[in-house]
Amino acid sequence: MPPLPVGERAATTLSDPDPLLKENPMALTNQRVDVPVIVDESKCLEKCVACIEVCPLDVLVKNPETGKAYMKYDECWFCLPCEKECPTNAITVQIPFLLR
Amino acid sequence: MNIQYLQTDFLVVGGGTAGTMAAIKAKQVSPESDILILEKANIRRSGAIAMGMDGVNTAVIPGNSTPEQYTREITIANDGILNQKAVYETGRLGFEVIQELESWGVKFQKDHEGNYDLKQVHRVGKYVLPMPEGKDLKKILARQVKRHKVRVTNRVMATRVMVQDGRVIGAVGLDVRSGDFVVIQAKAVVLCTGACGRLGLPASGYLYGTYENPTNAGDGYSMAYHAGAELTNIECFQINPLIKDYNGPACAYVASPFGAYTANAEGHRFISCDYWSGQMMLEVYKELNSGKGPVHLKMYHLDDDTINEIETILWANERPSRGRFHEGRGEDYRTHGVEMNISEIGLCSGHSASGVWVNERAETTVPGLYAAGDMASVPHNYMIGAFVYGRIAGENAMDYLQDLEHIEPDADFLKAEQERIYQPLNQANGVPHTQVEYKLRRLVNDYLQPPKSPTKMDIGLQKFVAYEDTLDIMGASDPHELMRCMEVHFIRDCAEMAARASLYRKESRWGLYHYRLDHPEKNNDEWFCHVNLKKSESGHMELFKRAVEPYIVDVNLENEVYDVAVR
Ligand SMILES: Cc1cc2nc3c(=O)[nH]c(=O)nc-3n(C[C@H](O)[C@H](O)[C@H](O)COP(=O)(O)OP(=O)(O)OC[C@H]3O[C@@H](n4cnc5c(N)ncnc54)[C@H](O)[C@@H]3O)c2cc1C
Ligand code: SF4
Ligand code: SF4
Repeated sequence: MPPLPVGERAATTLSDPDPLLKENPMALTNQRVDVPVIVDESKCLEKCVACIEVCPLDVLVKNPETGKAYMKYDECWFCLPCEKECPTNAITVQIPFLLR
Repeated sequence: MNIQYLQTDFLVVGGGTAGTMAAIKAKQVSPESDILILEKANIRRSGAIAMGMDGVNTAVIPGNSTPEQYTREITIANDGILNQKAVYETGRLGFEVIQELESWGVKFQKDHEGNYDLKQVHRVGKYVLPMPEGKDLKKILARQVKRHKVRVTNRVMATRVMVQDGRVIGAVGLDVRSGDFVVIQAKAVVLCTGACGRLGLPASGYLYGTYENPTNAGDGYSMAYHAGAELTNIECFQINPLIKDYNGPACAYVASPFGAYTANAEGHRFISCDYWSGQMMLEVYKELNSGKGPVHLKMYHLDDDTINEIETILWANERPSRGRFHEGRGEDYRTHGVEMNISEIGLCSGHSASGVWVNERAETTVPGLYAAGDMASVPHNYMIGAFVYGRIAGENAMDYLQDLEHIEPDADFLKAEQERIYQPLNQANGVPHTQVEYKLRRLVNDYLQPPKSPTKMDIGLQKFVAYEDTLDIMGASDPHELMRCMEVHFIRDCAEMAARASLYRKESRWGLYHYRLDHPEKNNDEWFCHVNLKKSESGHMELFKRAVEPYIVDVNLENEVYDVAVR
């Protein structure tokens, strides 16, 4: 699921709820969280996967609909390879909210 | 789900610091052999040195120190429990490693005359060699891996080592993107999967806000255990003095040579040496509990130029997001001390001493299985020790495997392992790994964070054992989540080992790392030995004493007590 805008920040869900909710609507909730990595979609190149390839936690993916990168899993070490290797400076890594 | 079958002569599990070096060295001694690195992330930016390092912590450079002096320093810092021969190798071979890295383009700090600009951070000798331009270390290593024609499979996480006929025959794993089951046959395997960095829960509550790269979840500790290898010193936890909440190094190793120091709330020194040790951590613990906390890294007495220089180093290397953390809080080294806290526990011989038992040849107790880096038992080994032991493992493994043939993996084993890995997919609406991991690590804090109390640890142990059943109710909906579920399995194994080893050693040692309230004193008569553990024939965790190998460098531990308190 692509990230939902929350104020100026990106947000995502802890787990992709759709297929699961169909099976058991009571088991999981769709919880909004503030994620550390923000991608400026206007700068993100559709053919590029640089940030996705270098992330040690493998938490960045492409949105299949838009071809833009986003943070799918809130599991970030705020280590910055994604930001450093982005050819267009599209990525900003914030310190995760709980530590900020 | 598909099955991928791979075959190689020498399998390197984990392409971080030790792993890349192991593969390169294996190729150098045996260019005709096939070497494969299996990496959970991508070797270009993985592991502890993903964004480089501030400096080398254990550089033994001729003219400045000797391997004997280094061995003595670590013997005292580690309260005498170590295999000196293994530590000696880090001192003996470290300089060659540094020279080779330099020939590949890694830069180390030199003075005006072109000599290595070593700093004193340890209690006695000068072993810290700054690397202010160290940020691309991992990229440089990845380039050398390619040049040496080592094969690399990124994004595959090893889950088990295969042992048959009394020797290692390969490993199995999960492709964390495609979800494929991967079977790799190998004649020898080295585990280089780093620390167990996700054992305790950070005070921030953020699962990945750890000191170690959170990719390193104790995978190698657990895999070696299930392969039947011995582990040692597990009760000698890793606990670090870290930037509060940020949970990264402050970093006194960089700043203290410029005049910074660790101070209490009054701004006074309370430790005489900023080198990390359990004894130092005990002083921090006492200070925090004496009403003189919080403690901080003090730089505000330094001049502007000096602070600029420190900032340039700390904000570009190793943990470069430090700068934006301070900025976000409106804190400045010129006006504020860096508030520090005692970290949650982990396992890591790179910093303390817990690891898979290895000798000075990087051999574990299972034939054909080697271990190197933070997960292998050479104490205080840090980055250079990881490189040295990667090298030793790579060279020795090539020697060992020369006349060996591949063995066909046992079909029942493969089937059982597949079932274990994919089980969470059968119940996508099971409890998410995030919650299962959070609770497990919170229990680790509740019951294992020192000071250690036997009754508490007993309760913890029972909970960790019972947690086997909790693992079965985890659900996952994609390969990424499966990876995380498998990591929770590793963490649980490490928690059980940590509890059992801590209960077994009925004395206190290594300062805060193993401070038992019921046995507050060191007892050399009964406990001058290693506590080792392994999986018994019947599948239970078995603990036993292992004698300390005879010293090769004389140290009088009665006279030379490691004491860093300022009185
Ligand atoms: C924040 C920080 C600062 C430090 N500062 C210094 C310093 O200034 N000086 C110094 O000398 N030392 C320092 N150290 C210590 C030093 O970095 C480590 O001791 C050393 O890098 C460890 O090397 P390693 O090969 O064991 O682990 P790593 O380099 O972390 O490599 C482990 C690799 O294994 C991979 N992996 C993990 N699990 C699996 C699996 N199941 N399957 C496949 N692959 C897997 C990981 O992705 C990673 O690539 C620091 C460490 C940290 C975390
Ligand atoms: S900061 Fe590190 S962990 Fe976070 S998304 Fe970027 S590369 Fe991945
Ligand atoms: S590296 Fe930058 S341009 Fe490339 S995919 Fe990531 S955000 Fe987009």
